[in-house]
Amino acid sequence: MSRYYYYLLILNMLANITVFTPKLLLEKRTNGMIGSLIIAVILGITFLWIITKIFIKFPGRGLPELLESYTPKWFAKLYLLGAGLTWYVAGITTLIGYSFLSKRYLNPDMSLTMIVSIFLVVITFGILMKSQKVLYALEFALALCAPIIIVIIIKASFSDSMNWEIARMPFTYYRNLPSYETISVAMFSVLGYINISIFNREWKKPQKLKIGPIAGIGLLAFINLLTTTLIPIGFNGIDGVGDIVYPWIFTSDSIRMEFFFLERVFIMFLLLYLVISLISMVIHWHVGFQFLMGFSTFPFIKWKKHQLGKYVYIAFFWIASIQIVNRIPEFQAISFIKLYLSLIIPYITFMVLLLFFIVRKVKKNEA
Amino acid sequence: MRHKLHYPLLIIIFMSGLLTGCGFKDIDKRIFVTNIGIDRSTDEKELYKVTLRLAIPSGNIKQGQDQEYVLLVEDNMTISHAVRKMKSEIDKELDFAHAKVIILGEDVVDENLYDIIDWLARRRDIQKIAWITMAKGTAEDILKARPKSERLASEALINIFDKIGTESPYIHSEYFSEFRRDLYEKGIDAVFPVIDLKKSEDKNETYSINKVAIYRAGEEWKVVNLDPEETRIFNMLKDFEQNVGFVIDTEKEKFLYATDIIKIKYKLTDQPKPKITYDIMMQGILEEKEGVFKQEKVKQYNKLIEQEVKKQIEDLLNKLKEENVDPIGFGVRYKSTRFTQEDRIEKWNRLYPDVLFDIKVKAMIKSSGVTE
Amino acid sequence: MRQNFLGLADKILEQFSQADDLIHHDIKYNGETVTLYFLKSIANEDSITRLFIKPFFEVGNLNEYCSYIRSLTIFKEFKDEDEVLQALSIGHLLVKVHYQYFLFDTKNVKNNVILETAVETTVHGPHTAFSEDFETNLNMIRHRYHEPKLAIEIDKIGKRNDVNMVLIYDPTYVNPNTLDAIKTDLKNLDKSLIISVGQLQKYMNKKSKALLPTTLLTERPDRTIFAIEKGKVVVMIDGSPFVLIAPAIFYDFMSAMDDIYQFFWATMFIRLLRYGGLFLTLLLPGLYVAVTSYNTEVFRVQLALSIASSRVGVPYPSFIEVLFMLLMMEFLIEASLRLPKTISSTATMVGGLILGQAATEAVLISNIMIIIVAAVAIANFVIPINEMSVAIRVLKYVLLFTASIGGLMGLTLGFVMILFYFIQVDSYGEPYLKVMYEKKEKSVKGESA
Repeated sequence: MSRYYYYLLILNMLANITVFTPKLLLEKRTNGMIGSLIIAVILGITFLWIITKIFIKFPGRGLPELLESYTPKWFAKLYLLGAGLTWYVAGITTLIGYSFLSKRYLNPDMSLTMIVSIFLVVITFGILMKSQKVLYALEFALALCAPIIIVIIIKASFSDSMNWEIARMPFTYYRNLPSYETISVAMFSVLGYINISIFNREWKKPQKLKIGPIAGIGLLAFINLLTTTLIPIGFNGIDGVGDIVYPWIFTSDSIRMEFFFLERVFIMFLLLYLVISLISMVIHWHVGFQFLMGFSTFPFIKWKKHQLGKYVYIAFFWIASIQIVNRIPEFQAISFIKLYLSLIIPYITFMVLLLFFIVRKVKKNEA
Repeated sequence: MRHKLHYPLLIIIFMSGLLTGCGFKDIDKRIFVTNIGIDRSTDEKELYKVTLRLAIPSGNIKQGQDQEYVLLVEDNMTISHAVRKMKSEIDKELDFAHAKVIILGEDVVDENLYDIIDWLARRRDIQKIAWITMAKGTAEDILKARPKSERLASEALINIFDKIGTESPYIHSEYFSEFRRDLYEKGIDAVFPVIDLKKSEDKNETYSINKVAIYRAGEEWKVVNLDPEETRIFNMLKDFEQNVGFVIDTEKEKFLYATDIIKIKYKLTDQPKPKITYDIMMQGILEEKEGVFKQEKVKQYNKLIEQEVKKQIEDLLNKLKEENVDPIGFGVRYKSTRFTQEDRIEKWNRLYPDVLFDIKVKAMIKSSGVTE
Repeated sequence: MRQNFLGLADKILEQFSQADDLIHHDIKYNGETVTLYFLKSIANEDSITRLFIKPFFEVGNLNEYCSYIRSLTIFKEFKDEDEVLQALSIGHLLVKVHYQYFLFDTKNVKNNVILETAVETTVHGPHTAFSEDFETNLNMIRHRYHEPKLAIEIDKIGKRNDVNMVLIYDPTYVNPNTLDAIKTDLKNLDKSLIISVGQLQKYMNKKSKALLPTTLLTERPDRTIFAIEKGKVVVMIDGSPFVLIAPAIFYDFMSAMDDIYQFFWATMFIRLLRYGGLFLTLLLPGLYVAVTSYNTEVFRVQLALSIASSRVGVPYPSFIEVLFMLLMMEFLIEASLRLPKTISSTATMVGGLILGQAATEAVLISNIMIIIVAAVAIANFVIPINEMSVAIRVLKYVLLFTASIGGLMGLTLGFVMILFYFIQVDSYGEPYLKVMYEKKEKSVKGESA
């Protein structure tokens, strides 16, 4: 596969740590969390394999193109609208999380509307770029941030404040049954592949999916999920981690760099994750935007020969985001996100069925 | 060539002055809280007495002016309210982001400790890598003191806990986040370093931080104090402090053994009887010696050291056991290695008073120092 | 070529009636007359005497003389009278034998001196730069790049001044699409006066308002050769000591020729230094504002206190302070650039030392600010190519602005924004900024291998 495919996977894993995922996972830390993580990774990799394998058969074509050629028009339009909105919501969960986080830690005196607007300016610029350029931006963001994030995670694991005896506690609860909720939350970290439904347009040459790298991705995802959950436990205690809203931010504030020009890892961590979350939002919204453009480009909205259809969506993105972020309280946002994430498995199952249908139709056409 | 004035650009430049404002506060309009002290209020009606030490940035540090700071003291039922009131007393914004040392008075460490810790954890601007300590007496007294060696405001306390300045086996430093974890975690008890003031004859005050106090949470909360010698051993067991000195004082031999490397491992078994087996390996040098050092007697010296170390560790562990406190985290070890579904920590609490300690020490004199 | 243009001689005299440097000179021998027309100021009189006047007296026979001069390599054909007039004006010689006219290129180029590198200097590389004469420059390129396939396409550009433009590339390495795009761009250039390559650089950028250079100017023959070998297209204009290299991406602007001449680790170190300088000059002003006015928790206590104490008494908010000092620095740079060399050092002295010193004494700005401004200025000059260095100079104000609005968050978002901006720029199909560049396509390079 193209290396950008792996970047998409890694991005989701990294973005995982930022906001609500650790909190949602840690809720079940004494309740079959580890089992859920294992199931999530296995399930996630299985879906990854199926979906990627099917898309490889159609080099250079994204989901909108496939739907257009092989499904009835009304269905394609409806599906694209639905998918566009789903991706939009995926982006907005991050936006909600990070704007709350910015309000709390970076700019406590700035209004939420202002914070969200600043985010939106950058994101809008990002989503209007060509798909290929979005991938370049992703690569750049990862190249800049990932090494430092890895250093911080390593530093955290070897820190004196990290108590591994407490951190391994979740393993002792292995007998408890995994829960659906935790599985779906954890699935999010192995969900990056799903953006192939748009970015497949960029991969015009035939790609090969090899089992080795994907197994590596599975392992990486599992390690990532473990660090996401175990490091906050080791720092804050299995009993003390429960009531922290942003476990990873709290944890990063507990790490100290003795001999570095910054003493507090916390601020660096926040900024690195600002970049990662931003790119993650850009990717989600870019994909969502492309789906919506597949739904309709509003060709009748024009001004002096300029097609303004796409700005309808941008305006919608702006207004909806500002409204949602301003109106939703933090704790409600968490349950909203939980609900949203629990819809992932049904959604992907549906998508897999749809793709199977398309493949069958293609075979029929060939025969 | 045509020159066009770009009005939008000019407008943006001028607007930039107006746009800032939300949250824009220059560093000289802020005043940094470097220490937070919380005591029990002497006023009957109030609960807390909050003392903040504020560092005042003085013009020239290089010219060796005396450090300057302001103390703000306020009594109130809640800490946040006290802080709010203090804000009205000073012309600059109180910035807690540099509160590096948090001192709790002896009196306030009771069931209120949870509220204080909660307040400190909840505030976003208080560092979770601040050091927490308990004052012998009141925090206010500690904050009023002015040790002579302090060059920059509040530098002394930071340097002590930082362990970059002074390094001593007697000092235990505890980050706030670690303290909070141990306080909430069942199976380990939180530990305070205890800070005290020492006055020398020329009225110069210095801090003395060579003791720790262990806070046992729960219904029957209590504070167990360790004396400096116990603290030293405690630091060795808990923080893996490497440089510890042992004085061997027998009838025949008298010398001081200073360690370089200590490796500590322990095993916990509950069959047939609860037992904790310590494996300690140490290497070090002879630092002070009465009489002549004889090479052929090294083995004998090693034996003496081993006996002494073993005795000291056993004494400490037995004391902790008798007081029924567990700062080292035997409970956590028990919890994390047993897979039974019943409440492990209660089982451990039943086992702990009967636990046996088996200390195995292997000491080695690597060299006799610069001279023989 | 024998040409019959009746009245051409009169026309020349009429057109050049105000040109006192026009020579029309009859030479007579054995009753035969030949007339020479040329501009004294621009034609090479030596070669005219040597090649045209002396042989006339030696040959004696007009027919033989005609076949002699027609065999000269500088002989030019022409179609109409206008062409002749044009040719005379750039230093050609017109020879009239009875009613036949012959045109010769006897241009005398006075500016073919090979210059010393002034803009882009290196330690170990060649110290010569291009001259202002394109033939000399072509000579320099041919001299360094022995490749029979090397394409050199000479063309004219500029409606009014009709200056010589040369397109140089190696057909083995060049990407045909890129070449076509560049050719179309040059063809579509609708300008009457083209004086220097700098103009081309500006006009070839697709956007009317652009900041980032997408083509590279250089005065160094070695960089030009290097670019040709990398499959790039070089555009040269007569009279300009710079050549234009296209496409050019971000990394080209960040590399100096010394990178090739130094050893691996030395190069790595210098590159690292350069990118460090880039980040420093870009981020430092914004960072200062962000951490002194929004996110003071970043510092260690001691540093926070010393910055706070250095700011004591400064009446302005931090961003005004930064802006003020940065603008002072920009004035200084601009002033010393345009001033004669002897005065410019005084200007720097007065500006840099006295102004900085006095500003801190007067508590208009903090001491730390001076350090920052100096660091920003120096780090900016680490960027080897001037166009990029100027672009970065502009961009740091963008970051200063975003940092003044949103502190560290604003700074980071501004930085990401700039990153996006860089990424979405293209230079003739080449992405401007990309982490890793794939090796050249096999189809392009394959032929030579």
